[in-house]
Amino acid sequence: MTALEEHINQVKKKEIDIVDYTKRALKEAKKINKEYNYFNTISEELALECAKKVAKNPKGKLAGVLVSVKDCICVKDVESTAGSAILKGYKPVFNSTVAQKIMEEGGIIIGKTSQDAFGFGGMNLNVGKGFSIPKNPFDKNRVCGGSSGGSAGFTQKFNFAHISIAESTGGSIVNPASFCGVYGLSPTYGLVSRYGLIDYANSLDKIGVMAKEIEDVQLGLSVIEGYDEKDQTSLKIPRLKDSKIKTVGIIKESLDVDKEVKQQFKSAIEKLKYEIKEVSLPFVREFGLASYYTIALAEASTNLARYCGMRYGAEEKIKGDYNSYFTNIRSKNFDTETKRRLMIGTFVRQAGYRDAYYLKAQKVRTQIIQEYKKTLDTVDILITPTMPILAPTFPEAKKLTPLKQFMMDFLTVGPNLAGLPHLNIPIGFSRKNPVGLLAITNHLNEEKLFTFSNELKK
Amino acid sequence: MIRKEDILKTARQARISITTKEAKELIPQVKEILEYFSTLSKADTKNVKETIHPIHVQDRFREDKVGESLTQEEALKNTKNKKEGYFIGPKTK
Repeated sequence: MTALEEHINQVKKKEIDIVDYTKRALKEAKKINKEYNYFNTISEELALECAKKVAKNPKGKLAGVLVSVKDCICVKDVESTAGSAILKGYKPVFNSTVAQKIMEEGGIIIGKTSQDAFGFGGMNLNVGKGFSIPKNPFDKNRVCGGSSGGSAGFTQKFNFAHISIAESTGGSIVNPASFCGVYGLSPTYGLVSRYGLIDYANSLDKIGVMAKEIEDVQLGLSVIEGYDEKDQTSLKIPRLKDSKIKTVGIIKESLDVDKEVKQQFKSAIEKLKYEIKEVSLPFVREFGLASYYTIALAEASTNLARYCGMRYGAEEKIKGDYNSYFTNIRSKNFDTETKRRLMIGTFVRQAGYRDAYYLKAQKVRTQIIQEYKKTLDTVDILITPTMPILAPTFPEAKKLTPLKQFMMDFLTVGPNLAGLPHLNIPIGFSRKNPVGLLAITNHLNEEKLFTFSNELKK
Repeated sequence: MIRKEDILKTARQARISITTKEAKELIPQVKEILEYFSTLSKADTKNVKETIHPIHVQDRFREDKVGESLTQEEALKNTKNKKEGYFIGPKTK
């Protein structure tokens, strides 16, 4: 039984004063936040309200569990900005399906975690204007990874019963989970409702879970998964129960990583009892990044058209025509990375370029999915290191050009393009920095990832 | 070849004005990224269909009936620019 499961039992038996526990947890969260910048908002009022409800009626799968939620996931009456100044002040008048389910199961939402604005980054350096950059829990001079950096860093640092709800478009769960040494699951596309998620790219976005223990990730997923009629892409089919693994495939092209990451990866899998074979996914390696970024930015540029200084978020006294008003608000409130991505996304959808970029990328995506499916016919699990490097220091990360930052995602964009479930498993440390292993499997086969993770822990 | 003017035109279409300082930094970066994306042209995609969603998603329809939605008050809660139950927006020229 994990410490979190034990906590739930104690809450249910009323052995813990959950209101007092929550007060102490909030105090600790604030203290950590002051030093590490993991939260955009700490929702003290809501947390205490949830705790009082649990004290009265200690029921539910998450009874008394503290839950941090990535800032792009809407929580009613709690500022939800997706890390961008253009949404500063926005307090949703509804709950995302995920937030609703957490509270219905006795979870206590304690705040909204830091992220790259709209998810636009892999280092959590691209926070919006006026937001703070989170620091790595093992070394404050290093990045947390992104874009769900706040969720990952806080999960590592916080010692109360806690899980975090994060979101991935191209690796935003497993990447920071790897740099911060926690478990992070990005589930099958469509398994978890996206209703109430501030979208980055609709065909790629997935909400998932981070925790210190794999069993706690499983528990979190069991709460947030399931069909939701409010999300047009929500799947009606449940997860598969088969958890058996015979063969594991190491992706040959994934070993082009730093020496110390490779060494950790190899020693982690040495004692595995499964048949291990090398497999090749050349198409994913050659075209994955270009296909992913073309599609993601094209979708982002249409999604972000809604932020125009009307209805919610940043606004000014209305003057001038709509073009000048919208341009003024957007230019003042979008950070540089958001502007860069919107320009690229708008460009690849333009008449004259659309076929060569956007449609071509979607065709390549079809082939990438086929390549994964064909390979997963021969193995149960695919493995790679999660990130090609150790968490860089802030000066090292800032030196990377935007294109080089994109390149860091070469191991994570593939499963995201294919909508395949994937999990970061912490496997050890190199020079005191965590290293993660990425396990990928077929659609709806999350159980196999859990089996694999438990086997690796032995 | 992607020109500086094409990128500036794109920024206008995205309703973003960029300062001269921003342009100096952004234009070469955007060009470099778009040129990298051009590697897609090397992929043989003859007779391949586009993927819109990674898992097949069936279109879903509902009865044309009024369902649950926000009240007018809730919808207007997050803006100061409102009048008599409506949003105020800029002129359309």
